[in-house]
Amino acid sequence: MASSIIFNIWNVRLKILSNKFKNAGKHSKLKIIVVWLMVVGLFSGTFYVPYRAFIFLNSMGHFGLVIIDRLMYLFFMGLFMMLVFSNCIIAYSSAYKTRETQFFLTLPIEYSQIFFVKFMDSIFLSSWMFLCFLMPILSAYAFVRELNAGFYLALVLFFIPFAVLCGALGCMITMLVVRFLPSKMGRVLSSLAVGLFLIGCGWLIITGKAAARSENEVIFLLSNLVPHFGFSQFVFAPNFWLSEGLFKIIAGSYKIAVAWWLLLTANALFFSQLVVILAGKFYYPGWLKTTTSTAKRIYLPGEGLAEKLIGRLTFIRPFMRSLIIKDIKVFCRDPMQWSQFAIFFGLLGIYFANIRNLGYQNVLPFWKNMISFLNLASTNLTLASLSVRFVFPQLSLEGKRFWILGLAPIEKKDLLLEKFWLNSTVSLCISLPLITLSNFMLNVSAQLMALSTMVVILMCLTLTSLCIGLGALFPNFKEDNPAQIVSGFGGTLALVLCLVYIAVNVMALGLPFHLFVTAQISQAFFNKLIALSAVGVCVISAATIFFSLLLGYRALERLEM
Amino acid sequence: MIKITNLCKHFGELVAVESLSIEIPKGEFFAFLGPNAAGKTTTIKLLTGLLKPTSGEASICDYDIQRDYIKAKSLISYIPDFPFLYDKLTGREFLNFVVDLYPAGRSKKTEAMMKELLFIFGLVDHKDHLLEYYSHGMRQKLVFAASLLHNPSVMIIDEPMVGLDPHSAKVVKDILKNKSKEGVTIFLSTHTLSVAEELADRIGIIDKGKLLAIGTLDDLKASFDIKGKLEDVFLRITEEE
Repeated sequence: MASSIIFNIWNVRLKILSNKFKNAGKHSKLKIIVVWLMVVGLFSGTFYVPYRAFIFLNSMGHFGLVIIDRLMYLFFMGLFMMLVFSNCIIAYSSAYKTRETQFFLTLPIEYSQIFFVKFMDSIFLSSWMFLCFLMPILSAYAFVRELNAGFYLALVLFFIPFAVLCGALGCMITMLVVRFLPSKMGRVLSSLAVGLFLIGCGWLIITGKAAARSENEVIFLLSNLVPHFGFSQFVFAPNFWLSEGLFKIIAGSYKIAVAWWLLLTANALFFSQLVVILAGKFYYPGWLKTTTSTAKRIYLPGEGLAEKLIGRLTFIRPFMRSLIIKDIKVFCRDPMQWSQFAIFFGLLGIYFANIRNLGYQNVLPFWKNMISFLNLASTNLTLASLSVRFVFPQLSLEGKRFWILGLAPIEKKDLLLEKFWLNSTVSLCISLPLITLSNFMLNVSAQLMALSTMVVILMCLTLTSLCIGLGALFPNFKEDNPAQIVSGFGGTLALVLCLVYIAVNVMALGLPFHLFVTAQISQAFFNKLIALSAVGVCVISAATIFFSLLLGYRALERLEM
Repeated sequence: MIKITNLCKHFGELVAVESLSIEIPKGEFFAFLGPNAAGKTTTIKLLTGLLKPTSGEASICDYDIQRDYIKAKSLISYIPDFPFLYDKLTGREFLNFVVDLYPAGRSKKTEAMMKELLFIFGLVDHKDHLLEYYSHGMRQKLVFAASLLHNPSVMIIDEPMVGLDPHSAKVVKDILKNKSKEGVTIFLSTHTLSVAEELADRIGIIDKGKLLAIGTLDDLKASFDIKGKLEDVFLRITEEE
């Protein structure tokens, strides 16, 4: 009975998938072609960038190979952490917060089976995208190391137990946290985590010691970087078993590789079984806790910071203030929303605060310049992904509630502008301090500092306008789940356009600096080139903002509820 | 069939249900009435195992909904006011899926019953359409059909007439009447007093978590000395409280 129920549920999952594909055929051919072009473009980019990096490192000879292999250890460690983390998030939203769970709970199904289904869902949902991005990166590695097709087969065979193990760990963490962490404790812990994070950053900035500078830049980087990679080779970590197994396959030591695979598989099976056993005891009480939390806070009018702060901005029209306060409150009261913001930008913050510890401020101007632009790109890429994730679905999420705004005596252009200014301000409040911190830590020139500040301001405005405009052009009022809204055509297009915009701008500004610091152009020519690039970036950004908002506004005007 | 003994549910300081005790025998049609936030949905959630009582017990056909939940839930069918459906499944696929989740599973009998129910609810032409294209009423009718396929002994229904057209509402009422005659116990929560008046063998009125009155319509009228309709009885009882 148990296996047949799980089989039935999975059978339905497959039917849903097949119906989605059948339905996809009803979309216009142009849309399908655009989607495929975007997919091919994304995967080509994911292949090409690491491929060039591996070629570069490979050209350094033995040192390069050492770095490549160490990078792979680091890569699998990152993959392990991301998979566990995404399983935590997915398991929570899928096992505790969906209406499907409530439906299953009214049926004669064991609680452990319901959680097992959600555990399988979580593994599948968290892994398929990682596998898609894993393949181009590892293909680049395989190309450079001249590996045969057997490596890809081994990769898939190793990835399956690895994904199951990450899923089991993530789901188990979520289940135990939901069951045992008191609701009020969550707020205390998150405040404590933020406090510790800020103290940690401050401490790192104050005590950070610069690494000794070496004559040879490559040896300098190696001597600084390689010791830091040691933590990615912790023998009890599943990512180490995966890495070792794959390296043994490459080395032709198949028996040892099988031993690593068995270790990984045995652990995956053990922890999966443990998940089922624990779910029998803890899942239902945890689910009850999430639906009947007694930690209900009373929100009195006018007591929130947003209300006090925005209420004082009397130059903003009253209905605009109301909209802004509503959006801020809705965002801040949903930890699933702001926690992702906090985590991604928090990680960037930790890295920027550690720049001095890594000794980057002492490297040659070429590297300093490169790192500065990479930091700018990483901040903007994080901003782009979070803008697509949070800003793009905002108009769609008004969805069933759109009649409130639709009936109100508000011009749709004001609604669009409110979302634009609010989200741009929030993005700026996060990105600007981060880039300033990065520049301060790297001791970059005043010129570069001014330029990167300008770029961040423009990017915040442009990325927000792109997401707002495309969100209005491709709304999805049927869906309540923002992740589902983003995964549609409009969301994918928004992500691709944001990436293209960032790539164009970072390259347009980075190239003159690169040519100058590598002494390929004179100071006078550099000044002209950088001024031209800056004007170009401003024009592209202004045009993107204008047309995104215009198209979004026209789409809102045409919208029939 | 349904036995509720001293059932209490507290949400922090809020008492949603307080010492509720009701016994509903086999084949009885029981209507559960009450104003908004009276505790009706909480009681239904306690009966279906979607909530755990703070104290007290609820059992279905002598199976405790918390301890013997698999056996209890095999005998129940629950129809919520806003049901969950898979938008990317067709009507027929959804019905098959629900049947497969119950111990009896699919059979020729369920196939025949499915065809009959699709016909009765006027869903034959839509059975192979995706549920995302169904209107609210069509969804509600499909959930009714799904709830009948495993021959439940107890039906727990929250606001059955929401979104149904007059014809479908008549069909639902007829089906519920027949089911009750066949021995199925029906626990119906509603604000539509005319439905309760027309169908119910007994009526329970709850407010602020407490059961204020229980009995046949005539019993209630007699107890409160009212000669009018159920509406008058309901208003008197809830206003007094």
